[in-house]
Amino acid sequence: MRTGSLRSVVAKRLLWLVVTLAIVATINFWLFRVLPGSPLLEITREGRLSAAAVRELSNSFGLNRGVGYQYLDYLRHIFTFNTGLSYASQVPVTSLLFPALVHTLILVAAAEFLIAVFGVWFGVRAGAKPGSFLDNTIVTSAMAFWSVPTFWAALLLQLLFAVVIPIFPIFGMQSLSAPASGVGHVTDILMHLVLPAVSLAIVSYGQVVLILRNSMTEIIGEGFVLGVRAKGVRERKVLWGHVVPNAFLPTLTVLVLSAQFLLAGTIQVEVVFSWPGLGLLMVQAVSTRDLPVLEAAFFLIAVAVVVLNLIADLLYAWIDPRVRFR
Amino acid sequence: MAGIVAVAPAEGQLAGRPAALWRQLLRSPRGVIGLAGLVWFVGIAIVGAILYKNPLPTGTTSASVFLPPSRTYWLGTDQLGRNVFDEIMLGAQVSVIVGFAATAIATTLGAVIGITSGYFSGPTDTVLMRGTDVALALPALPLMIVLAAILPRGLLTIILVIAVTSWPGPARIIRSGVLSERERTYILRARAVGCREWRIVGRYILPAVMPVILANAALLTAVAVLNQAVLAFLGLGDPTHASWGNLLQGAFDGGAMLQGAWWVIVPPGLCIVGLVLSFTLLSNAMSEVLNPRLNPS
Amino acid sequence: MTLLAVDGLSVQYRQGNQRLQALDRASFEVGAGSRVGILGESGSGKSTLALAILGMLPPNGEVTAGTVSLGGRCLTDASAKELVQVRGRDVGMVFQAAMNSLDPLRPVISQVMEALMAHPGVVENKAAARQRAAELLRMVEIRDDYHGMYPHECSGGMRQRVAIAISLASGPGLLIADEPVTALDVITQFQILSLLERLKHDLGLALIFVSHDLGVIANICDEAIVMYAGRIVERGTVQEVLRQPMHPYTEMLVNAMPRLTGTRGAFSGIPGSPPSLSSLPPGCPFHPRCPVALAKCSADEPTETVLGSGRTASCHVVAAGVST
Repeated sequence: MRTGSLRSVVAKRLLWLVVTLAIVATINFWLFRVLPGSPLLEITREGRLSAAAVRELSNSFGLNRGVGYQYLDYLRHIFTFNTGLSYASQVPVTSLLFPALVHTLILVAAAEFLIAVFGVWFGVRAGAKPGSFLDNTIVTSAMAFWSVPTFWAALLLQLLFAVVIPIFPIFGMQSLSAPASGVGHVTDILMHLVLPAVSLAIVSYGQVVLILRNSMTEIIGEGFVLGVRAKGVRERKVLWGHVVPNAFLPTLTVLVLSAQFLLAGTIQVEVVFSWPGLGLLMVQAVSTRDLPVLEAAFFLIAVAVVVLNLIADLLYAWIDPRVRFR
Repeated sequence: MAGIVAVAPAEGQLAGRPAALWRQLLRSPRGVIGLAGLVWFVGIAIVGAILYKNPLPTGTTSASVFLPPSRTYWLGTDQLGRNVFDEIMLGAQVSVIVGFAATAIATTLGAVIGITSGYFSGPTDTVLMRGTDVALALPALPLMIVLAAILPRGLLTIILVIAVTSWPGPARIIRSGVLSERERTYILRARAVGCREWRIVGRYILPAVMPVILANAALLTAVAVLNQAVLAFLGLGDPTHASWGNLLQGAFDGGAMLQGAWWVIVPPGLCIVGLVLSFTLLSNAMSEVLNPRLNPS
Repeated sequence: MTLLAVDGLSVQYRQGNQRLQALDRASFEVGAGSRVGILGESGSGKSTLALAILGMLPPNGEVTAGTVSLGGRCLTDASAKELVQVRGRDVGMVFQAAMNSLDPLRPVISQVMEALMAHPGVVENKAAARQRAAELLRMVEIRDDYHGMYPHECSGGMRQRVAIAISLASGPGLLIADEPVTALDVITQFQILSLLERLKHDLGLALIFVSHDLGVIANICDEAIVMYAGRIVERGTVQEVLRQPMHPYTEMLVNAMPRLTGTRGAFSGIPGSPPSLSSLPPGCPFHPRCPVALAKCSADEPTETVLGSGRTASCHVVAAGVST
């Protein structure tokens, strides 16, 4: 009875990745080009643009040709990373997208770090003594924080630490007065990073705490903990060497699913703090009806999430030997 | 075979004993608080609907903008000089209505798909589940933003947009419930005896997974209320109906932060938190009642 | 030489606001190299007894009276730290359904190694641990190429053998086995029992074997203790208890076993079912199902009647028979 190899799992998941991306691209296409009342059709019909502009837009989006042709054209554009020009600022969309992506990644990484640290710390403490006062306090406060809309947490933090007690900058990623490179530059960015990252983390860490605590309670109830104890292994090693690794598996799944939650939070935090990331870009594109940007941003985000899921799946397969069997 | 009834579910099977579950729920502190909160906010929504009408009167001079709380204005005024307290009372309806409506649609859709997929297995299951997987892979808020931007503004749009992004979760969870229920002996007996499939689904499977559906629905409602607030804050909500999210959006755009007008920011947020927490507590209490292992006695 | 002495051990479980008496004044001794079988149905308290010895009761259970001493050292008073040192080192334990006593995330050899390295002085370093672990696995007849496998890749019998190897890793003098073969098919049972037999022979291992299976206990043990509703109702050598049962419960248990030889008869059983611990009958807990119950049995709890060296029974009828 040999295990399935890790390689076959990777291969299967990669195949699924490609299929999912294809479907996402198709849905994107459908949303923006085909859906009745789709903004592109709307705009060209509204007559807000000059005839020449309408023709140009139609041409670049291939609106005057059949749907099938448009679709193929669209796919070609994707593969060549040709996302057109921003309607609002007339620069290539890609030049807007990628810096924004980097900024968002910085924010997300900082938040994830805080979430992992505090989530695991509180989750294990709560799970080790279920039903205790500590457990109840941790669980209730985690639930309370989860019920807070991220943008409101951001607003409160902004109010408190930027207006009432002005420690941190109120918006943006960099101050105009800060140096453009070197330690000063990094420090400046970090200062701007604190409030947004904390806003994100405070709302989301609760999910990790809850899921870790619940799965720990389940694992501790299982027989093998008794078996490990019977060997004379010290309690701390039983907890961290056996219970936590086993409890981590469902936690990992939730961490991935909660990446979507984190994504939603990131968009809100970027808006409140004017952090120049993908979320802010997207929301601005909606109000200026800058459709090339909107479409590309949406697609990029969808791709990022799919890739994230894949990484988590592979991680899971690597950690849990039982999964490789499939 | 109308007269044939399968033997009652084995002991430990909680379905078919809703009264007992209800009583247990009322015994847990979280359940009680959750229910109380729910009743409170629905009450506010009803009172608000009776006392106030859209749109609320705006301030007459520029001096009436962002006034701090006083005896005339209990919670001060917003960026247009409107009474914040009145706005909060009036805005409660939207959260409650959107929350319930979006959840009802998403849960129903999810249940239909989950039960069909879980019970009938085979190619139906594979296709439905793959579809659900793809739906799950699409990021929720970005999709909601795009849809809300494309579709005409309004309450119905918001409800639909939220429902469309929420149904995959319940579908998966319900399907799991159905899968484990399907293998129980009493179901196998019913099938061996010749009971028709749809009858089994309606009479046994559905009541059995109902607790799971309800616990999940409570959580979904919490998420729906949050989502409505976020969409409103991002400017994609229904501008004709006051809502807590709209209130926050107007205040933020109107410069409340720089003026330090905390009275416009804090109360609406607290209301949102309160309503969401009520549903979260309720959902938590319900799932503990269903899975006693998580709650050592 | 007495290895383990249990004296008046009582255990209660908290369930809601009730307290259930799972074990009531159990006393017995295990000598070096001897094999004691603890026989009883589900709910008789036999597993509670096994867990209580090593202080491994679940969070809602507690020892309310009595002592357990191992080679003179008192275990019931011992601190958590001291207990950790005893477990695995002086007393090993094997559980029912060993599929659940192994960590699903680690290969079997690493779990044996963990048992070896849990106590100082057993092995010098990790490499030595790996070697010794491999030897142990070979001793329980697990081939080398299976050593790196994960628990879910092994059969039930293999997992049970791994559990036995783990329990013996640090060289304990006593092994407590709680229903070790119940979840296995008959052929595998036979293999495991032969293994235990061989180990007793080669290592001079003392054994406490908990089971509901008369046949298995008859096979592998020297002494037998019969339990019912948390009490010890009869004890003696396996021959004495099974050939000449004194307590009515034991007698009905023995008669309930179908025989392959001899004349055919109807199956006999024991009418009724064991009492729930939350509502124990007054007096002797067995009296509602006892065919020879006296009036006294529903009022007074029986005490132990000594019938010979190491031979006792807790029954009013037996007591009455002895005194006449």
